[in-house]
Amino acid sequence: MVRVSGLEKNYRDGDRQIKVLSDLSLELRAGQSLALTGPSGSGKSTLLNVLAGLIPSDAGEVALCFGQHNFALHQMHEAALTRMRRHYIGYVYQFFNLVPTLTVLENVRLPARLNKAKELDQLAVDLLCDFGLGARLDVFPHVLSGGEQQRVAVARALLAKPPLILADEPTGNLDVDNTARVAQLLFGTAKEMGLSVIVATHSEEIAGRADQHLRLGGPSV
Amino acid sequence: MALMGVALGVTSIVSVHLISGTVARQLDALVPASLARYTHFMHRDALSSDDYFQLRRQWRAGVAQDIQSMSPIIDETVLLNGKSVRVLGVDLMSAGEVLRESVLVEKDNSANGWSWQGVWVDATLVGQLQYRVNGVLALPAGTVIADIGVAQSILGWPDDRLSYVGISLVDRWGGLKTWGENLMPGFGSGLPSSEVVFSGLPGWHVRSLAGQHPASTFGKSVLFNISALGLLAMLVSWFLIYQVAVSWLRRLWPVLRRLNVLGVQWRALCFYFVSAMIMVGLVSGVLGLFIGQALAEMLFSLAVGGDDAYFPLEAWVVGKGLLSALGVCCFGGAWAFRSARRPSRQIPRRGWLCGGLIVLAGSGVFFPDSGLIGGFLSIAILSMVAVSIAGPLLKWLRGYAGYIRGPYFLRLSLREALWYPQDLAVALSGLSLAVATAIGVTLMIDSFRTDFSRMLERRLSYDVVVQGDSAALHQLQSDLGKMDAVSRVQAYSEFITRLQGVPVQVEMSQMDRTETARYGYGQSLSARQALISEQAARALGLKTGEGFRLESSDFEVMGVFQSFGDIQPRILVGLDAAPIFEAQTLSALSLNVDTPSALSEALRKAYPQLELTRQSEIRRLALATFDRTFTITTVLILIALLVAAIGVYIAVTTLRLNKQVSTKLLVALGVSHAEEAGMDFVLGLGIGMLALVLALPLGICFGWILCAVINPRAFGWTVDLQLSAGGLFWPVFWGLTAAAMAGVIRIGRKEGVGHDDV
Repeated sequence: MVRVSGLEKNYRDGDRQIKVLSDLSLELRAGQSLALTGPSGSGKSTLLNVLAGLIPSDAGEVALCFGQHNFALHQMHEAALTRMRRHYIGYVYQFFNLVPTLTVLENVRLPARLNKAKELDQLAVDLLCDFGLGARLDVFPHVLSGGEQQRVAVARALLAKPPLILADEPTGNLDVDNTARVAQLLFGTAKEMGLSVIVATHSEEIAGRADQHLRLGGPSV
Repeated sequence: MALMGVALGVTSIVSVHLISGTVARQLDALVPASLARYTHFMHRDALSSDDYFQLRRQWRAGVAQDIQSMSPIIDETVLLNGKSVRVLGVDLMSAGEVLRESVLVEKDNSANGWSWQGVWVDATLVGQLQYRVNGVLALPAGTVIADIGVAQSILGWPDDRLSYVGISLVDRWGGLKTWGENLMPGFGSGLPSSEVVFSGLPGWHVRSLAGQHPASTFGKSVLFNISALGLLAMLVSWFLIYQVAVSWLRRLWPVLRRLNVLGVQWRALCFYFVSAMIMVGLVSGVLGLFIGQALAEMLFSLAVGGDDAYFPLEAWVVGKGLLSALGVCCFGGAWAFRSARRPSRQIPRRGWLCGGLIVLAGSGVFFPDSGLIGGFLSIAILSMVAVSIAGPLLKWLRGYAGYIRGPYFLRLSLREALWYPQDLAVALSGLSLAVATAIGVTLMIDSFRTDFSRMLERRLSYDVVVQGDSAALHQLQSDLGKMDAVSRVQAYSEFITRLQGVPVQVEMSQMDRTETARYGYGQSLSARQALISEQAARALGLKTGEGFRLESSDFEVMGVFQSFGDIQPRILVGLDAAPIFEAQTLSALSLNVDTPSALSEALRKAYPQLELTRQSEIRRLALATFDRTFTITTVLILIALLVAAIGVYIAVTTLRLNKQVSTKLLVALGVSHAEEAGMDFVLGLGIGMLALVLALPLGICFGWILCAVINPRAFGWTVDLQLSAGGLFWPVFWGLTAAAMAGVIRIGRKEGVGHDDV
């Protein structure tokens, strides 16, 4: 379960202070999905980064509860946040989702290897086959199309079955067909596996697939 | 970092130049000014003034038109009041002005400033001779200069006997050589010296000034080695400066591209970038000049000792340092800009080009007439070949990146070292060259040290060596005969003579099996047999079994011995040959004794005028001198490695720009800072290992050229290349450490998630 209350996040630009997130609260139950929409600069990516523990919030509380494991992000130090990310969070970016020096299969296996979970090796192959990439396991990412790369990224995020998937505009760079395909794989597989998904998107189609929808306003100076 | 990188490049250029320049000036001072104006010396057996005047007549008649001027010369060494004195006789009509200008202190002035019957001496001989002293000159210790007649009288020679005829030959390339010498002190001694033969003057041998003054030549050969090594450091510095341009441009490129999209011309953007690079070059160049000056002073006092060395920043060194910085910043910047706009243009027929270069390098190695420059040119050409294949090698290896297995962090980092050839090729070339140089020089020094130690092992078979005044040595020799504690006394006499016009040192002693074993022969020498040093073999063109004529007697060469450190060619003959020679001076006694320390103490008290050295002391001193000789070399290698490491650091910084996104991804996946640092370390190590792929074969090649080509050509001795573990381990270790550190160290802004990611 994800619980955020009274979250604030500001950025400084010289003398100006840009208020990106202000008094934000939300709650997401396990296995549910949430779509974050809003104009550019409204704080969608910032919220995802705060939830992943990549950046600290300025005020408010962020709590993640995964079964027996509870994390109060605002009280945790960096090393603990890194450990939490490694075990409980899957992340999908819009661009450059893959490590260019690892093959498709190695990219998918990466989170499992970070967790020393070699038993997931075969699952990685199965997932990639299910995602239509069975013939491209040993190629490097630069030979894949954008849609294929994003499917690999989704497979990687799902492999270790982390209870929370964070996706930052995962289809923002794709055509309509690929958007539909990636959205189907992300939401369908997550639902099958019982994983929570929070996705930041401009796409109404993606937002429509989520169980909940949160629209963020623009930043204030 | 860009400023520091360029400044360090200039520092290495300046410090090497200043040290070389100072050593060159000291070496020039070994040749008295009155002789320095001659380019060559002519000699024939029993040279007399009649020979000189006949030669002069032939010259006036048009024979040997390359000769510009000639004068008779006396140059001999004699014992005066128990002191070994070098007597130079010159024609005062022509050399008087030079002498007068170089006088430090005037003495015994006559009306015209000096007396024809007087002499000029160095400071150590003031008050030591019974001749009128015209003045004190800055000369090597124990030198007297006088008119020919006075010199003949000092030597007790007949008034028509001469040593040489000094000549000055037309040098068409003189101006160019002066430029070369100013730009790279020691450059002249690296040029091949062709033998001068005047076909119309049979019976005359012609020697160059360098051949005539082997001490100076020896020193200048050392200097050339240092300068050549400095040149390599300069090359690595240029790579570093170019790497700075490439990396900086890489950072600026997105902005420049956007500006171009907005309508700013590429030409204007290039001008802006090159101007900025020139500013960096100027500031860091000035900084490098001063740091280089300080480093030169420090290195010189480390290697030579004493703190009286002064290193002025003369126009040549300022020009060289600043032009290097500005030139490479300007042209390197423009080239980097051009390459960024039109990337990866293939050099046509690269294979053929490399093959041609390797053949050229081979010709420098296998044609001895190409001299020292030929040897070093081979090294430079091989370096160019290595540099030119660094980029293609990276691209080729990238094709095999998928085969790198093992833990994920390891494979990720090692593959990254192969992934961006365009960013890494320059730094990799610089590091490869620095490590290859380190390997080559270390192998050479190690091999040399092994041979040197072996030579010492053989030669130092006596417990005590006594040197000094000849009369005292004679007295000691007769006293030693009465001492039971002394089991063997070996007496050495020596004199300097000329063979085929070459000054050689002839040493006489009881050449029984024990003595000749010290020179690797092991058989007694008969009256007409001799052992010769490698230098003599080379200078006289002799081999074992061949014969030569010395003082009207024929000798057979029974063996050639190694003689590291000898300045003059040396010939060893037995005492049976003594009656052949006129002048002999007892110069040393070597003793085998039961209790060396007790006897040494006793002899020191009884003969305070003699110098006693024990075997262990000679070994220690010899090895200490050996190590000190190579201090500058070692420091220069370290500078080159440091410069190369900074080049790698700058390249890794550029690499991080490429990696920024995947780094962000890895952080999002839960990779910790420690793991990130570990990956950077492995990346640096990977770059270091790639550099070794080029540096190992190249360095061993350099080592072989230094041992088998450069050493014989520079000093006349051969060194057997030994691929010692130490010789390979330390350069490899330092190269890998430098690269790994360059991978790990982060200065400045850390990449991470920022405002852009809102």
